[in-house]
Amino acid sequence: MTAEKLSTSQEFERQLAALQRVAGVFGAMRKGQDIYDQITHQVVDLLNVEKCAVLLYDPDQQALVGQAPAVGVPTQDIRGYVIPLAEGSPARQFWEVGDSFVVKDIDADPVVQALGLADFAHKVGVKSTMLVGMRLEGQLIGVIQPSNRRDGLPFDETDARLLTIYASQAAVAIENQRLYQAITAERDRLARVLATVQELSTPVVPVLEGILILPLIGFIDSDRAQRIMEGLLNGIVQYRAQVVILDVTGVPVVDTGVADHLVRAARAAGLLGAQPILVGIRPEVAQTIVGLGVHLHEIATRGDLRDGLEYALAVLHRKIVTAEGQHVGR
Amino acid sequence: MADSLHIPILSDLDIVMARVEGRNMARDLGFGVIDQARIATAISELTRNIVLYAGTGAITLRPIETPQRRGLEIVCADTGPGITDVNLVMREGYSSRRGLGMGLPGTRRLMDEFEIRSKSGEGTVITARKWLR
Amino acid sequence: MEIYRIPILQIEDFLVASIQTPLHDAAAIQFKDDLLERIYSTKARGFVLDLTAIDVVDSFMARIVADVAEMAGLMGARVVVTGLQPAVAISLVELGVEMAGVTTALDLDRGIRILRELVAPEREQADG
Repeated sequence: MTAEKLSTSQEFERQLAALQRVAGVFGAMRKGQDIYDQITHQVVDLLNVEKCAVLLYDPDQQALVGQAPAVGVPTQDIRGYVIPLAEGSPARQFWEVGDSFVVKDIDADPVVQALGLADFAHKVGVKSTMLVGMRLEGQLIGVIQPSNRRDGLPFDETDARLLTIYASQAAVAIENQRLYQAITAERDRLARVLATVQELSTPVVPVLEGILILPLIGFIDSDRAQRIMEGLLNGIVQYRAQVVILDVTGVPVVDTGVADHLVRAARAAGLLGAQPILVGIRPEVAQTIVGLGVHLHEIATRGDLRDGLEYALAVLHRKIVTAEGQHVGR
Repeated sequence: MADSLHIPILSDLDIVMARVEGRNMARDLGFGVIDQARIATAISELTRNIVLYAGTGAITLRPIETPQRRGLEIVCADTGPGITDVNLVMREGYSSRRGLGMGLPGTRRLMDEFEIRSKSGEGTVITARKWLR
Repeated sequence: MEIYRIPILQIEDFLVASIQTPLHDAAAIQFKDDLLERIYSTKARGFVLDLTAIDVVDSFMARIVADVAEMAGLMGARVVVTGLQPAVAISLVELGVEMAGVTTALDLDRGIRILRELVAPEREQADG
């Protein structure tokens, strides 16, 4: 084998080994731990450098903005680190064309000078640095910026290639993180909306002085029955109701479960001094209830809401509410 | 996660303490006032049964957690005479003294999970759990 | 051991008691005895028992309340229980505890009004 071919195959082996390290490094990413923390530490190990930071592209500012935490750069400094990319910026060309940008010497590099970042570089102790773009579906979403190889040498092509491969994975990880946060925020928002809807779907309607109507609509499961009962009792306290009309006209199914809940709600209302009246039991529902052997005899019932209201008024205006009418559980 | 609370039940004074502690734990875990009352009432009923039927026993209150939800667990244990027929006492309407305990079906309704282990002559252990919605 | 006694106040010819602290069984029984004694000695026509400050009512307490109402009734006094909290009402109902024969009202104000209505015809009879 010629000397040339030998060095090529050695190079190939080295690159293969490096790729395997990247794969291994990514496999070690842990959920929950700050993603920038993980990326910057992994790159520090991968390239054997002193510092590393992640910058993300902010479309509002049209600039790359440093993300905390970074390795080797204090948090307050990294947050103020901004590379403008707007039309006319010296860095714009990199953004549109290149995948990687190597700075061998901070003081001599024209782009660094043009961007006015030399002072910042000196402040945080950066001597040589490299920027590698993170691409997601062709779009650049940010850069990874390692600085100061520990061996003191400038960044070379191998470093750039290695980091480019890593960066494509990092881009996916960052996007996943963003999606996850967006989904969690949306889920929380929906939970709050749902809670509000549930509140609204068990309304009590105060009518005249001392009469409360609870219109029930739709199917009532155990959870909903609980909320209905709470809403009813809180309504009795709030509106100082002396009569509550439970209107089940809009409830399609009244089985033993629902009947039990209704009876309990009525009894609880009675304990708060409010007489319960049940209205709106349709023929098929009446048949179901009797067929199931459920007895609602302790609750006053009337055909429809109007009849219920008439009865309620009679109850209120009776000079003396009879002891029987007020007793609970008879 | 807070620690569990173990309260010996020797007299009616302990019944009050158990339910006050139970209510506090329920509140700290995030249960609403209605569930706090349910839990405190269940504790009151179960510890009263200990005083009435077993003489002495103990109640342990414990915060519990699964990956999906959090809750509170009550374990009431005594070395009293035990329950000969568990099915009988769990039947709706059963009551050995007029209106005074056992009241177990009612207590079960207050909680989400309810188990009794009892043998005649060997005492009783009742475990009940309530989960945050 | 000193048992904390619940103060029983007199308003016109009604008695009013408001339970403020968690009652252990012995105190509850003591209260029941005190109350019946006061009803007897004052010839009270009505009694309002306010439970606004009570956050747990179990089967024992419910039994005491129902017994008090029944016993007071036998002695000629009507009893109205006021101030049951929604959480307590729900627990009682789920527990399946009946307070049969117990008249209830939302608060002290309503309770006294109801007592007046309940007792009025009896008074008219007595005066007439």
